[in-house]
Amino acid sequence: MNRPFDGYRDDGPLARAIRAPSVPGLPSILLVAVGVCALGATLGTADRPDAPRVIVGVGTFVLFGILSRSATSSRLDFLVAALLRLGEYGAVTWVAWRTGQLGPPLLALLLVVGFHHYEVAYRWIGIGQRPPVWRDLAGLGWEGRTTLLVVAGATSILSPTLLVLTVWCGGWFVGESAAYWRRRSRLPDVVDLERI
Amino acid sequence: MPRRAAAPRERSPVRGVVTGDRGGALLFALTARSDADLPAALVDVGGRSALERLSGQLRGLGFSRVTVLTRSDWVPAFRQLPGVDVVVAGEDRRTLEHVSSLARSAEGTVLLAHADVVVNDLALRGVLDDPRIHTGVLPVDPGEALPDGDDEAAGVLVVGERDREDLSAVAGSGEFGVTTTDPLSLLLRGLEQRSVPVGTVPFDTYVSSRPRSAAEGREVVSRLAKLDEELIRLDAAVKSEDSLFATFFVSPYSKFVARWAARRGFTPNQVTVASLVVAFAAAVAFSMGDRSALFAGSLLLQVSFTLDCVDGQLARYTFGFTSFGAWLDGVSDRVKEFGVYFGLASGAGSEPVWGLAAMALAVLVVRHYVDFGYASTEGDAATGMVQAGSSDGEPRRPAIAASLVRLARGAGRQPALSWAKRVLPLPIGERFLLISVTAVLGGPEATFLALIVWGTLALAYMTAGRVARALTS
Repeated sequence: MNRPFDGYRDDGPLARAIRAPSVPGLPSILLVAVGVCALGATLGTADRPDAPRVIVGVGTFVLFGILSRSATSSRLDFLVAALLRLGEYGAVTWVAWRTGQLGPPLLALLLVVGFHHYEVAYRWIGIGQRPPVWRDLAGLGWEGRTTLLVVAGATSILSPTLLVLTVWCGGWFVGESAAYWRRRSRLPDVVDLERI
Repeated sequence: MPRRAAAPRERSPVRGVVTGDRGGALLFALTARSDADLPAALVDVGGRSALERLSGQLRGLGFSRVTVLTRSDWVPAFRQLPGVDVVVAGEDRRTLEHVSSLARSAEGTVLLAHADVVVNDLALRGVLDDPRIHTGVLPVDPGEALPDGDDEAAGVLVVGERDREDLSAVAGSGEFGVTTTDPLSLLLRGLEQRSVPVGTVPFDTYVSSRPRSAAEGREVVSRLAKLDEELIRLDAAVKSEDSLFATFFVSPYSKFVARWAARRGFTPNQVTVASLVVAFAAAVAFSMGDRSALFAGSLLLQVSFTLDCVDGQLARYTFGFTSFGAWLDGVSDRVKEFGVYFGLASGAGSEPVWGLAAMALAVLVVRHYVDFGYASTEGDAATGMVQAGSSDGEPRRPAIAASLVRLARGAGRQPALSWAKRVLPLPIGERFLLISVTAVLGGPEATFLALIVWGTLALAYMTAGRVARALTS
């Protein structure tokens, strides 16, 4: 088995800035799985985003996720990106729920982030190209968005943060995709993408 | 490394007719004789020789120069044919030298064929024009008695531009590992040994024959006359591995919509955009929230899905699919779906439903990412596209995982189970149907609950399957 496509990770500036040491015998998937379990366990037993255990849970998820960038590979590494998605979408929805902010801004942000994640995947599967690195950096990455929104929830500024982040991320993601579309649409070539 | 784009060709937008010079064509008339002891290429096929027929087809497909390679005593027989260059081959070695030099010197595609092969236009076009096939083979009808007794003999071999170097190397080396006097089969084996992916005709039904007598020639002509190429092309436009709902309830009529669209000159991407617009109308209807609006939204969503099937069928029908179209199709499917989620949640207007919508979205993304991640680890390292024949080494087989894989493969052989396997992962057709039905019967909350429950089951099923395969491969 090859290593999974690393563009699926969606690492942002924080993850890329940290030069994590590679711990032998600790595969990426194990780190991320532990991170997601810690996140699930702490969020499941806390009822407010400013509870100390939330900091521990989210911190573990983000830190272990970042460490998994350079950890040893294994056959199950293909699950890493999916678990990063689970942690991010789950944590953000939980924070909105616990602060009474379930509403259009939450779904709007997740749809914008979801658009980003799918578009990167289809570009890679269909055309074999990846977006420029600045797009992942501008979008803050899974770790940046998760951290920012949990902190915003804990400090009671979730609602404006959701709006600003939606507009910010949406602008970069959709803008870069549209520019790509315009450049690309004139070039015919091959490949049939199976419907999924 | 990213996949290289195929050389852009000029096409008329509707029918995809290729203009200009496509490449070099080399036809072999070496040993095959007719029952009258003449070259088999001169057997009469509907009023002209098999060779005249084939070279006419090839010129129509853009091969402006057609060369026949033959033996010296047969040269006079071929000299009078218009538009055909005749070249004398020596022994086997020399034959392959001609191939090698053509592969080096030709621009574009190299087409190699037996000079006596009779094929229908669509089959030839399929091997040449289907963008999924770069290098491809058109086999001769199985079961026919062939001079060398080879069952899977090639009638036509098309070698795409980026495999020409391999062809040249194969023809130059003379190392094939099999003994046969058929140069096409030799070259085909050689290409396969060099791991060049070789595709085959994208149609179930076609005529490809090497008649040896006037009687056989007449028989082939009658088979050609019976062939309904229009219908074959339409059936091939329907994806063979599509979901249950798409296969039985949408494709049977959407393929006729696709043909209509092809005749009107619509492009697949235009249909994709139309599907997007209808889905947005559905989302707006869902956002109004009352019963009749939900009903209208559900209906519009199904229309949108039909158009979504049409765009792919239109693309296959016109040989016009592009990787850009694939990207657009994928992205627009998600944009439609997201619009519908937002519309449904707005229509419900209660706080918990926004949360359910977020959860349904999370389940969808995670499930697809399991799939994307897995796909990118197998086959072509660059794109995750699977290529045949890449397995090597003795696999380790943990017992439980291996039995899971066996179970899954066994299920694939039973029709009912095989359909269940396709429905359980909740592909887009089933998902949109689930949305439409639950929205009408129970409203948005029911829809999101159904998506979450079924989506989670699908996630568990798909993850288990991929984990098992990853551990056993």
